[in-house]
Amino acid sequence: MYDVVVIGQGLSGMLSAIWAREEGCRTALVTTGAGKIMQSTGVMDLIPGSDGNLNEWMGIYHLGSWQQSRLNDAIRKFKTLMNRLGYPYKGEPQDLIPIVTGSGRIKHTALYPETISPVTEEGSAVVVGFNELTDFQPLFIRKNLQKERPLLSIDSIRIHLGKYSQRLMTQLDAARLLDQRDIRTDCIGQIKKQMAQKQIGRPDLFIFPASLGEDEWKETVGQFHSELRAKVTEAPGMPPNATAIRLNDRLKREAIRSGVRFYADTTVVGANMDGEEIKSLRIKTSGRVSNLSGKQFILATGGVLGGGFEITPEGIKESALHLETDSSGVMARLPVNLYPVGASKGVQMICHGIVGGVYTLLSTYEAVCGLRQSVTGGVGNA
Amino acid sequence: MEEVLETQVVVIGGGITGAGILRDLALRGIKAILVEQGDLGHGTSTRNHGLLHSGGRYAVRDPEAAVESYHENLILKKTIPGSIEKTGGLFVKLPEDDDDYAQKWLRSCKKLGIPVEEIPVEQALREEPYLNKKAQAVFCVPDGAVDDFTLLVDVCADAVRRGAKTLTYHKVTDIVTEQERVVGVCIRDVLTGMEKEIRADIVVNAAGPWGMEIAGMAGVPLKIINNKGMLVVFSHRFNKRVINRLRMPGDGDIFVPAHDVTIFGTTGVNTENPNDFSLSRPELEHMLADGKALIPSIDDMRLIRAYSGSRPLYQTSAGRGSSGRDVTRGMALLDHHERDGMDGFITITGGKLTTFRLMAEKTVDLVCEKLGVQANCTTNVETVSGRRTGDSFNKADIAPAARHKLRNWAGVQAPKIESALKEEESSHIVCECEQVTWAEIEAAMPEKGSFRLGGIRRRTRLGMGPCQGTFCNFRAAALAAEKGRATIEEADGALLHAVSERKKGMGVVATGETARQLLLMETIYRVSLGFGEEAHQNV
Ligand SMILES: Cc1cc2nc3c(=O)[nH]c(=O)nc-3n(C[C@H](O)[C@H](O)[C@H](O)COP(=O)(O)OP(=O)(O)OC[C@H]3O[C@@H](n4cnc5c(N)ncnc54)[C@H](O)[C@@H]3O)c2cc1C
Ligand SMILES: Cc1cc2nc3c(=O)[nH]c(=O)nc-3n(C[C@H](O)[C@H](O)[C@H](O)COP(=O)(O)OP(=O)(O)OC[C@H]3O[C@@H](n4cnc5c(N)ncnc54)[C@H](O)[C@@H]3O)c2cc1C
Repeated sequence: MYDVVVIGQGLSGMLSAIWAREEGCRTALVTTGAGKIMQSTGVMDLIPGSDGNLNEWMGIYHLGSWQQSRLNDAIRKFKTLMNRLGYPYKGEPQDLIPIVTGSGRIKHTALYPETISPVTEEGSAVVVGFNELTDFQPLFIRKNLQKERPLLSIDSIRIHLGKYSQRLMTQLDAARLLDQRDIRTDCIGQIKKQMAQKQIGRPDLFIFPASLGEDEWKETVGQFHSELRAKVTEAPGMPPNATAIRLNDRLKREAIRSGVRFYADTTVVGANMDGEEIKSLRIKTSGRVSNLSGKQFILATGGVLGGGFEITPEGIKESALHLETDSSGVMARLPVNLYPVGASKGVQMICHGIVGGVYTLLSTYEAVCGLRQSVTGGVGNA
Repeated sequence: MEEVLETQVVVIGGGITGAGILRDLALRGIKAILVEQGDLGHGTSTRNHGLLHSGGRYAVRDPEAAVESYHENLILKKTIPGSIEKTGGLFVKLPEDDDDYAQKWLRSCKKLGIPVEEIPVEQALREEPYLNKKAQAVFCVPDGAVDDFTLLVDVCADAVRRGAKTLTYHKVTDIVTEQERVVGVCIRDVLTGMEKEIRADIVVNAAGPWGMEIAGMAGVPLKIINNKGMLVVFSHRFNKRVINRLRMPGDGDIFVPAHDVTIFGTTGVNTENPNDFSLSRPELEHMLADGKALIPSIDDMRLIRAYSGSRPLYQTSAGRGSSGRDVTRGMALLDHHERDGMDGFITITGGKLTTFRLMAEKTVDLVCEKLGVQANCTTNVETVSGRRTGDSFNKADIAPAARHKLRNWAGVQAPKIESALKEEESSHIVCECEQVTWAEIEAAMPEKGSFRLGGIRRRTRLGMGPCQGTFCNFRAAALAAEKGRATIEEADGALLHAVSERKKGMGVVATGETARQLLLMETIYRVSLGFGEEAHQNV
């Protein structure tokens, strides 16, 4: 019997599990597969695909002003965790910053890892691409960026990682190569040589793919920064982005380290109810169905993209617990010990496919607060 | 007029009918220019089922069309092997299907000479495990699967090699007449807006569903009813052979294997507008309900996209004097001199993909008669180069799957692609689902004219796989800009267009995994890559 059973291994699922452990709960995490962070950019947006500010965000997500302090607490809690895990996040939701993406377009985001720096309106930048990496084309990026930043002076160069493979190289593959010091040193040499040949002066910012090391990101960013003597940033784009994989790996390691029991490759196929309460989950592992009981449950199945909702010709179906929902996936009668978080709250929360990192943090934090109250017997005070 | 060209024959329409005519003209030594408003295959010729009919489907209702189909089927298998897979086909009788029809069908096939062989139901179920177990009788026929797009480009390329010309992205805007005689056409380059004229002795209207518009330009009355049919593509190929239902032809009763997928259809709804490619969910559901009879597990299979095209059906009533020469009931060859007193103008319409060669033969026979040229048709024996290239690409440093695909696909482009692959960057895979390298993409780009992903997709299969271009459209557009093969505006424009086109085709089938794929595409473009509102145009 667990105190808390989390369904899903995305950002919201892993954070819920880690925070539940911090509260001293015996915690299990059941998941079919990896979460969307594997495909994500690793930055936390307010309104996905839009540069709307905090007020607009609160409107869209129907948040009350009293939730603002919870948001601040959630962000503080997340940043503290990430500091501890060695992959710190910066930024504030009141103050969106412009970052460049792998298409050269600008997007605005709230929270971002230390490997990312904002792009300025003016000054100079050099976009650096790798010949082997198809997903990041520096000249293309430069031209798109120039449209959005007419006053910025931009150059682009292409260098070799020196590792051709018949398989398509991803940003993550490139990051793993850049974990190696000799490859980095060689890259820096090529960059300097080309800049000298093309008479490109030292810029204010170097723009790289989201590949600046995986485990060794600090060393990678540090070496590029000090030897090129300019700021460097990653420009996330086509998945997999190392920016997001680092977050995923660190959260997963922390969850395991802190004692969360993982039920991997396990699908939740239903719930055993006792009146208004979930008693246990029906879980399926390699074809065998069994029960997993718990006191509280967190549904972090990620909505349509995460697999938690299925779009059928008859409409949206909740696919883990098989509970009845309305047409947007909101549960008709929410069991008292179930906390949906992130995109599990219903498709009305989704902009361009996702809910956005900031809402994910807030809803996860709120769910964990709910757990805390009921575990300590304080439900009545809520 | 900024430019005036001269030739003997202008062919309007770069569908399979126009392409077949162009090649036949070239083979008979007649100078010709084909004019197409979009890319080759803009119309019905890439919006059909891709079934190389054995004639079985028409055996009862239209024996003449059945015989024609069977003969053409044999000729095309021999002369254009590169675009045809000799899958064979099955006609399957279910308990609810009329016994009388089955009997009539068997008798008619026998009489017409279409080879039919009954096989035991158990054998059929072993070979086609998804087939309805309740099948009562199963017959084999020599159906085949045609890759409509390679067929079209290969036929055109062969014509061009023999001296013909094609002008794609050129729209015929008017037909020039002088005293009851057509003497040429006015055309507009749709990419630059440049106006040109082509003077010719004869103009052939092979504009398929747009044929009425073209006839109108010459002031000739013509009535064509466009009958729109919908088709859907499954994510994988679950049948080895074509599967037909043995009943009076109706909706949703044919499954055609096409490379690695299965195409299922179709429907028929009349539409006024030839540019109407709309898709309807109720129509789809009705079709799937019909299809379930043959393949009961149809609902468990993933649909990756849908498309529609229109069959131009000629109506005899609109003629002025004589009713024109009906080649057969399905296919109409109209000599507008004889029919309407307008010399130098011919319309060919109706028919099928399977019978395009015959339609071209009849048309060019008439052209020859008018031009006073003595030359026989040879398209029944002259072959179009195939696409299989033996053990080429041995030296290329590419994955085995990419090599396999190139050997079966590159055709006459093989030497060009092979030499491009010597450069490391050209051998980078751009589309993982279909194993497309940059070298192939570059070989598929037109020498001049703007960068378009649709044309590249059709020529290389880029983005045709389960991810429907989510990743590779971006890569191809970015690479084109990077390598100076496209301006940034062209690259971005092509990308937005391709994404919205794919979304149109996926939207109507978007449930389950396909809905997820569609959302993922939206998230990647809108959120990860920061594409703005424009990404939503025309969706
Ligand atoms: C391409 C892409 C780009 C993105 N970019 C950004 C960005 O730039 N900024 C931003 O803020 N956000 C972005 N995101 C979104 C962000 O990554 C997610 O919102 C975030 O990871 C939260 O997801 P989640 O935890 O709610 O769900 P998910 O990560 O989707 O996790 C759902 C989990 O539930 C599991 N699951 C589902 N059903 C079952 C079941 N029946 N039984 C067991 N387990 C089940 C799945 O296996 C999965 O582990 C992006 C997402 C994608 C896909
Ligand atoms: C749903 C469906 C399924 C089918 N399945 C099969 C099948 O399985 N087997 C089979 O044998 N047949 C099949 N057919 C029939 C077959 O597809 C058509 O008979 C054939 O493609 C018609 O070709 P076409 O060249 O005459 O017309 P199109 O391919 O439509 O070509 C006409 C061309 O003219 C161009 N054009 C129009 N106006 C102008 C202008 N003003 N200037 C320049 N160009 C212009 C258009 O852009 C177009 O490309 C199917 C048809 C449909 C609709």
